[in-house]
Amino acid sequence: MILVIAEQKDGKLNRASWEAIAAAQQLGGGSTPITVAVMGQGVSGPAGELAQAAVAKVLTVEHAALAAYTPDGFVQAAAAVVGQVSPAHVIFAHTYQTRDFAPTLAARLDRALS
Amino acid sequence: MKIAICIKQVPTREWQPRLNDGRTWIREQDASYEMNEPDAYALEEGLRLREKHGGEVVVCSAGPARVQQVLREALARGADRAIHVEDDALGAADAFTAAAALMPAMQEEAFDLILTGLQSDDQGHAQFGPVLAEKLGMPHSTIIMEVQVEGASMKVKRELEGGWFQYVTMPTPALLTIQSGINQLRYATLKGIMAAKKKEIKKAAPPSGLASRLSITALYAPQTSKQTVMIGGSPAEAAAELVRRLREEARVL
Repeated sequence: MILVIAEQKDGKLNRASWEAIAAAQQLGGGSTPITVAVMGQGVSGPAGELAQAAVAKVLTVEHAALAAYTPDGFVQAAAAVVGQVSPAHVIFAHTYQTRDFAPTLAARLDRALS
Repeated sequence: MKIAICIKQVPTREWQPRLNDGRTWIREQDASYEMNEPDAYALEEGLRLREKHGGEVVVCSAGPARVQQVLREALARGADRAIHVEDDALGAADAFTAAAALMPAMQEEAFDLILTGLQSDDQGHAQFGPVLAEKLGMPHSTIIMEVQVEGASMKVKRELEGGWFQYVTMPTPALLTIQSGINQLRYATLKGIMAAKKKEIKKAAPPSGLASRLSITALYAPQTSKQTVMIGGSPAEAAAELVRRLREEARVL
C-alpha cells in the first residue's frame, strides 16, 4: 500500500497534491492500492475533492492542534497514520511544508527519504 | 547564548564537475572546495546574535580531513572554536548519516541554538537540519529570514511559497535552517586569520555502526537538445501560442 500525504491550507487543497497522487499511481503500477491522508481542522472539503481521484481510500486527521501548520503537530499526526496503515511507501508533494516536516517524520520512523 | 553552526564543505561553483569512474559521484580528488553558501549565512547570523546577546559560536562539521579548511575559515571570520567529526567515509554522506555523525558530539555541548543552511549546494537534500533537530529532541523551523531572541524564546520569520512570510515563536533550545542572503557576510580580516590559528578544533570520532540510507546509483549531466519550432498563424495567434508555450512548456513566464 502506498500512502500519499495531501496538503491543504484553510480548507483549500494544494494542487501539488494531485501530482503526488499521480506519482503514487505510477509507482504502484495500477496494482498497489493507494491511500490518501489529509491533516488539519475542517478538511472534509479537500477530502471530498481527493476522493474523486482513482485511490482506494481517503483518510482525514482532524484536530484543533492541526488547524495551523506546525512541524511537531504534523509529524505526530503523520507518524500515527503511518503506524496505523503500515504503507510500503509514503509520498509527498515537494512543497515548503513538506520540506519542513518530512525529514523529521522520516527520522522519527527511522526510514530513508529522497 | 551557546550557538552552534553546522557547516558543510562542498565543491566550489567554479569547478566544472567531472564524474568518477563508476559514474556515481564526482571525482573528489579533482575538486576544489568551499563553505556551503547557505551555511555561510547561518554563520554570519550566529556571529551577529553573539554580538547582541553574548555567548559563544561553535562551528561543527562532519567529513574527511579536508573539511578543516572551512572550519578554519569560520574561525577566521569570528567563530570561537570548532568541532570536527572526522571520517573519510563522510565526504559524500547523506543528510541522515551526517546528522547521526554529529549528534553525539553536539548533544554533549547542550547548545541553546543550532543554525545551519537551508540546504547544501552539492546534494541539496535540505534534510540535515530537521533530522539533526529530531535526533537531539528539539524543535526546528526552516527557511528562516530573521531571528529575534527574547529571553528563553525566539521569534523567527519563515519564508513560505508565493512571496508569503510567517512569524513563528518557539522556545530554545531549537534548530533553525537559514535562507541565503538574509544578512551581509563579513570576510576574514588578517587579524582574524592570525587569531584562527590559535583557536581549538576538537576532533571527535563518529559513532560506530553508521550506515548510509541512500546510495547514488547514477549521476549524469543534464541532457540538452536544441529544437527549433516554427509557430504559424496570424501574428496575434502566433504571439498567443508563443506565450502559452513559454508558460506551460518552458515554464519561464
